[in-house]
Amino acid sequence: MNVDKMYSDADLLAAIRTGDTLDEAIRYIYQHYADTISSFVMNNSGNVHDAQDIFQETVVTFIETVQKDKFRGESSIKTFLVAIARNIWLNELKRRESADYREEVYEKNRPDTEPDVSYLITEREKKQQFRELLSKLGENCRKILTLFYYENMSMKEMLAHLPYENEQVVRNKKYKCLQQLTGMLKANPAIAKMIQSKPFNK
Amino acid sequence: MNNQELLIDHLDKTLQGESIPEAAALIASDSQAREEWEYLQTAVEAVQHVVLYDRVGAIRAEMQGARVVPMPPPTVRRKAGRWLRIAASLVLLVGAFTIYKFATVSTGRFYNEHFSTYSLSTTRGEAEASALEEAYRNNNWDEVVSQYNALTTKTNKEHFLAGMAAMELSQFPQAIERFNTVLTSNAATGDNYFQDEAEYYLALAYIASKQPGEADVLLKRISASNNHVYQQKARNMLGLDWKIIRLRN
Repeated sequence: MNVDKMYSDADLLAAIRTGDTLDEAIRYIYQHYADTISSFVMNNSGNVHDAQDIFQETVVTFIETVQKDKFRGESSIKTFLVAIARNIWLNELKRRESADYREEVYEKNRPDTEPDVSYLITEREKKQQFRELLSKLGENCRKILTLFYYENMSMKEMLAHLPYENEQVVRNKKYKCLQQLTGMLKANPAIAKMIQSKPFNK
Repeated sequence: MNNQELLIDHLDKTLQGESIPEAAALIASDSQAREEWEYLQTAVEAVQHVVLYDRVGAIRAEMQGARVVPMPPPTVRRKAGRWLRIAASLVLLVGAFTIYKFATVSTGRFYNEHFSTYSLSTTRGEAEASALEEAYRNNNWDEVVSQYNALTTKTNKEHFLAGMAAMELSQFPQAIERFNTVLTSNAATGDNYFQDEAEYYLALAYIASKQPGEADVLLKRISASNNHVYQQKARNMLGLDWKIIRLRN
């Protein structure tokens, strides 16, 4: 994808879904939507750092939504991104207990036809916990799990990126790392509560 | 192979033959296995989320400029807006104050109250940032105009930033021309690149040029557009002061 050109919403969605040119798609999103959304946050009680963080979360949420085939295409990408950013920012303001801003800026003025993305925001706390937990996992385990579960590499391919003797050692390490991460998830009260409250676990 | 090993192999899609239905049956029948399965899937989800988050963050850092044009403190504006609304309520109750408003409200004053510098909060890396954008970030409005005039082909972003530079220089006819170029370009291509921004600031440029009729059309259109980024700002502008300006013209 050449980011100096304009791309249709369909082109952008295809790039995100296939993942082949995801970095270019992310650059394109920044080039074309960062100013609008950052200005929106900064004009609604946010500072520069808030704008940067909210846009990053917005882009991640959007990509995950598209990759899980949950983007229904009922609105343009721009409208959808603004809706996500608005909801994330509202959620953040709630977290900061800025009730005045919340009521004044958002709840009374939310457009009636804005896409309902509240279901995405309920995941926000979980995602924040993920980031905190993974930062404690250890570099080696993060790399092993990333190569296998994100890059979709085989044990043989992983061996070329890791300082281990053979595939069996990589397999054992990956197994232990996954066990370690699962243990951390079980020990996290917020994550454990979410999983145990799922209907089929009752 | 214990249950956890079986579930991990099932997760990794490395099971073969009878082991596949065996794992599926275990998840369906055993609540502990089902919970373990949920944790394993969540672990993978966590890994994928964090890698994507870091990936987006890395690209953000790559593209983000070091300098940012600070916006006016929003809290001050918000508080001012709140007091203005209170003042507007009092105007309705006190007729004498309405007369005072008629004497004091003007397009120039209205423009100054509502205009704020457009902030370019992110940019491409130093090597890729255009000279026009750099000049804009440095508030070097003359240089923005100069860079714009030197360009042979121009994007909507460049038309828009040149329009904003003209606004900062109080060259409102030029600003109107630049913003209209954005709208015309989008109308021709079907894009909406800088559409919302151009519409809103074009309305402000018309106000500064003492053409409230043209501004009124735009502000009402923005106000009625639920997905417009500047919808709330436009609605805030269409208050009593605006009605007085319209009555005068």
